[in-house]
Amino acid sequence: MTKEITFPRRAFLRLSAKITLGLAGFLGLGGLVRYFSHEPAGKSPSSYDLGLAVDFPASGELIRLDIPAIIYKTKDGYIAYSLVCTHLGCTVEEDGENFSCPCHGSQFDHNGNVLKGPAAERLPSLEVGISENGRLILETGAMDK
Amino acid sequence: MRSRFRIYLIVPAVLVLMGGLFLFSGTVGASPSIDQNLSSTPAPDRPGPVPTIYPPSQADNGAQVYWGMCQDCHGNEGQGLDASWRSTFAPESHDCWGSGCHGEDAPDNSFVLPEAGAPALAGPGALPRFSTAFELGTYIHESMPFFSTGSLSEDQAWELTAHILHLNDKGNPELTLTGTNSAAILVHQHVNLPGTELPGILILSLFLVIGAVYISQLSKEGTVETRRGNFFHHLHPATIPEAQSKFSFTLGAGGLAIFFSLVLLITGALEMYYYLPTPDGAAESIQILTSLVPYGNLIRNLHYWSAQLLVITMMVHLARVILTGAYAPPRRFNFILGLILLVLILLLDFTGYVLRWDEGIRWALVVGTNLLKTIPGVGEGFYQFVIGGAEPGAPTLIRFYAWHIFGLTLAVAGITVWHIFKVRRDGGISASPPERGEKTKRVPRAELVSKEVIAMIIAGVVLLLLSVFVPAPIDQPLLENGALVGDSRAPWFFLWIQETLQYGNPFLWGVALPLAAVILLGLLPYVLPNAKKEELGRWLPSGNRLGQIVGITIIAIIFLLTLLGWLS
Repeated sequence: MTKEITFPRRAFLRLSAKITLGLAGFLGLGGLVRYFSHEPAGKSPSSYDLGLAVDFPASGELIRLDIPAIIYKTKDGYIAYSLVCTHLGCTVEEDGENFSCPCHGSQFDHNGNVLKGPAAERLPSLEVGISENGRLILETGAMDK
Repeated sequence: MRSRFRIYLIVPAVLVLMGGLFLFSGTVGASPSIDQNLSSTPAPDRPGPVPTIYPPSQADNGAQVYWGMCQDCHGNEGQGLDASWRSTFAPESHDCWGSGCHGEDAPDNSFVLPEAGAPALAGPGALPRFSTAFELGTYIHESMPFFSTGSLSEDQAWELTAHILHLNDKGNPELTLTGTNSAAILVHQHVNLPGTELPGILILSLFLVIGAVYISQLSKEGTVETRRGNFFHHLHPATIPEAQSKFSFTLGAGGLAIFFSLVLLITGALEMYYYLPTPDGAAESIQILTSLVPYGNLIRNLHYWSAQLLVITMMVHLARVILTGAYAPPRRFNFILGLILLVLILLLDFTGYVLRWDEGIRWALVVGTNLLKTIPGVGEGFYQFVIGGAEPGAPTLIRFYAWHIFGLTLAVAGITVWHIFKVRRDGGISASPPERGEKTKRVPRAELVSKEVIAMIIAGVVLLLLSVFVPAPIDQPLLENGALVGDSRAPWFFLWIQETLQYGNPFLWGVALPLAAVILLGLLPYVLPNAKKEELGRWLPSGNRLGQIVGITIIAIIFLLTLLGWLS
């Protein structure tokens, strides 16, 4: 007789065991990925109440470190900038007329433009609206904190 | 011959494809794709008002209110505003947001529907933010209905709460919910695994079983270690005497205990990614893990069940060692190590139980820690060391957490390794020495490993099935002044101590007696006569008969007391 069986039983069983247990491991790994895919609820709010417009500080400038943002009152209305450094997210500090980041030394001017790197983008400007009952509302949108 | 091989390969391949689909398609709760399928079926007629019997129960009244106010958004069975429910509306209303009734352009007499729609009120994962009926009822009273908040009377709010509990199969027609008793009613206890997770788990089990069959066939072929052994082979001696590998002698209890310990390590590490060890967050994080995290319930149940089975396995192992006289020198020190492991595992079980920090553990924590106080002299200091203050609070939780995941775990890991090392150092599992001139039959380690793998797979599948069908206990978060509810029973592995506590002095019966039992067991090989060398390797040798009687009496008393506590 010719050699018909080229696949001995032992090798076949060994391969099959490896395949099935490997597939079981793959399934378990998939379950693990799903286990860690849970997204916890809760996001930071997208708008903040800044208080009554008439109560705005006489200096024309309001810093809210909880947001964090700075709001100016100008003759044309309100302007607001995020104080989150666009480099890696530290909160920038007022430095005379400018803002500087304590972490890696980025500097921004009064209007949020970049004066010095490593930050590449300007501080985002934010919308300030006035509600029906005269309260200032700051819209941060999906701002990263 | 060829075609048979092909079938062997094709069947598992098809199975894994199906498994993969199940695994990745389903989401916890209602899945949109399923809803779409349902909406393609013809729209059934809208159901009329729910008929009630006289006198109506609170839930019946609630059903009436629900039908009038809540049903349009939350569905007739509390399924939420899903596609299948919307399909029962008139065709022009199927899109609630775009139809002009409830979108941005809603007319004056209507309201804008939130983009997320109305949540489901019944089914797995529903109502995740409410742990008790009190919270649910208060929320309904204050914030529902959405279009006219606060318009419900307090009675109506409780009627609706009763109806929603009924929709979740948690209603109790005998009970009239009020602001006081509702705090004791759980809203989402015993969440079963979501149906979408079941197929994946069953297919995983199937693969494991098929794998075990292949391996057992392989070991029937006769094992020839052609290559150098792998890592797992090297954890074993090259060969062991055949007498030591007999299941009827070892009952596989030691090996199983190691397997359960490994499962506990892995599932415990996974739980740590979601568990918050703070008094306010602990119970809630377990609720989230149980009802919202994909496979979270499975992981928790696996952890729970391996812990319970580990205690049982260790008791079986202890009984086996006593009844075979295996603790005779040189193994008597290893016997002590095993006893220490048993005590440590019981403490691990207790600390893990307390970590739930829900109403179910209140009295166990109070009684368990107060027992320490009764120890003469050092009791008060020991108590404060354990709970981290004058009374149980936030420091207690963090200390139990530290003991559970670090202190005790480290000790158990170290002593387990020592225990296993000693087994090998003491000449393996106890067996009688070979007769002069007789050649011992020996089993190669490859065969041993394949036996172990099969045993682990069987135990693993049993664990998986237990975890799927019998959920681990969970209760409402610990209340500030929650003396009115709660299970006053100890966890089952301490029921025997709870039973003895009824007889009198708590120190004598609750601390000294259990300690004496453990010490007495530890003294067996040192005080009482041991089995002779040639008697080893079989059950009930005559040499340590007295030790067997004492040891088994202690185990039997513990067992009976546990049973008594269970039945009472």
